[in-house]
Amino acid sequence: MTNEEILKQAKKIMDEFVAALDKVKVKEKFGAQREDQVRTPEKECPDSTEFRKRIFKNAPKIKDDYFIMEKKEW
Amino acid sequence: MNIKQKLDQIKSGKLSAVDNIKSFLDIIKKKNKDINAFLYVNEKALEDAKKVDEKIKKGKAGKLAGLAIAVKAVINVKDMPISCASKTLENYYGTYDADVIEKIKKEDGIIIGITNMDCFACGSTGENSMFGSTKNPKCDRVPGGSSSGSAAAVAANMCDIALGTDTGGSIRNPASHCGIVGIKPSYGRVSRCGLIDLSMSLDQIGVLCNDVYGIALMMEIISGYSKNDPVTYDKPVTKYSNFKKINNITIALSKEFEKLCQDKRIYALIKKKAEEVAKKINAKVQNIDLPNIDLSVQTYYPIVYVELFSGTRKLDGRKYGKKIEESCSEEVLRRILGGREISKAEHGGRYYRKALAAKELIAETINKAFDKVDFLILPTTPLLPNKLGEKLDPKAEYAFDAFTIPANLAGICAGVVPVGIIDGVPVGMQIFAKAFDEERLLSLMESATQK
Repeated sequence: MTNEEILKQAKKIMDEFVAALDKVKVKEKFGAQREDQVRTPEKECPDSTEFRKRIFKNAPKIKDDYFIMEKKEW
Repeated sequence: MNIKQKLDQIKSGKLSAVDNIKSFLDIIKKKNKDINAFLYVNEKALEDAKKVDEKIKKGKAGKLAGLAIAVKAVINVKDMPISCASKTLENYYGTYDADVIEKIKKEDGIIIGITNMDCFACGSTGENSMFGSTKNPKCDRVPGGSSSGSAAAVAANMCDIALGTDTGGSIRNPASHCGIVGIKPSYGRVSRCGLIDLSMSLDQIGVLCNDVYGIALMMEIISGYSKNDPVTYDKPVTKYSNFKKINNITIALSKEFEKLCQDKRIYALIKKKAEEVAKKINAKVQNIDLPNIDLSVQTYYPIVYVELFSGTRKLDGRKYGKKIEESCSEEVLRRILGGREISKAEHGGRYYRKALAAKELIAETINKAFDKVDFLILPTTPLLPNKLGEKLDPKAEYAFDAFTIPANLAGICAGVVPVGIIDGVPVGMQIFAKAFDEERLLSLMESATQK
């Protein structure tokens, strides 16, 4: 299947599903349910030498102490 | 030998951790080419086992001493390939241990390897892996998914216990098809820190094993609050493996599930087993109405499409080499493209918002049921699994999740135990319990499996 065909199929499924949900009366309510548990960043960063080593092992291209990103894609 | 007996043997020195691991490595060597349950086998497992044996001799070993634990390829284990069975993350090695892995290692469990799965946990057959399908060790049908490798590894005796994840049934579906035991914990019971998410509001890490004791023991270890995962709750974790006697309870069956079950033989078997279990523990059985439960599949998929699209934006090829859209399975692509489409501003969030509201409605239906009864019993899937290679259209595959999805939408806990065979295919009975009632759920699962 081409991407276009896959997208068309996915949209059709979503339309059918949401049409089924339209038949029932649902109240929409949003917002954080548990405001007491919002995560806050830690003040101090742990020693990252080992972590850097592992992250760099995963990067497709590196030079010295940097990741190489493809300019064209940006 | 069950997990309890094996732990007794290891702790008393009758069986060494090294011998336990060696025996599994031999089985993996013999069977994995055919079953394809493992994507990676830990080369250092024997070294780790030696260290555990030393701790046992000193009397300092943890609760999982020497047991072989398999891990689904979506949970980070430091220095092991965590590919999500995708080409996108084919060369990604875990940079840290997920919270659950830290806890397992602390209790001297040995990570024996990383298991196969449906690519990015999208699928319920085990056929959507980019590294080949997993085979069901028990029959000629698909093993189920997405935790296909974890279930097959347990069923083929390639490990003691396996970790899986369950967003809409990914533990319970393969547990049923492979004839083993599985649990999806309540949302917020087990930390998801270190899990590569499919749908952040529904994902839970859970456990698969051949016996309920193994599951209960693992749940004792991995459950609990974590500062790394703000959705975890600070609720006490009791000793799940000390099964409680459950008295004066009511078990419910539902006409809605009976109607949705396309293979009537499956429903008849589940009903018969539910009545047998009830008789054994002096429980009452009653029927209960579950309005709107038939909308579970239609509610679940818009949420998953949008959250998977959002969650995978980090996989743009810059950090791990390959763009997800160019390297994933067709099902993942369907969800990403569909999720991108329905997230567009022009739709004003209609699909996602509508689905979130319906999710609340289904949660309310289930929670109201638990005001009247203690447990709900139902099949795991409405049909027997298809044969390997037998192609299903996406909607037919989604319909397989109709009985497992409600537990994820409601955030409750649910377990599966094997109860019989139809046409040579294992069938699992599913039990729903209210949120954070794992202690009683596991006790009922243990009663259901005892002869």
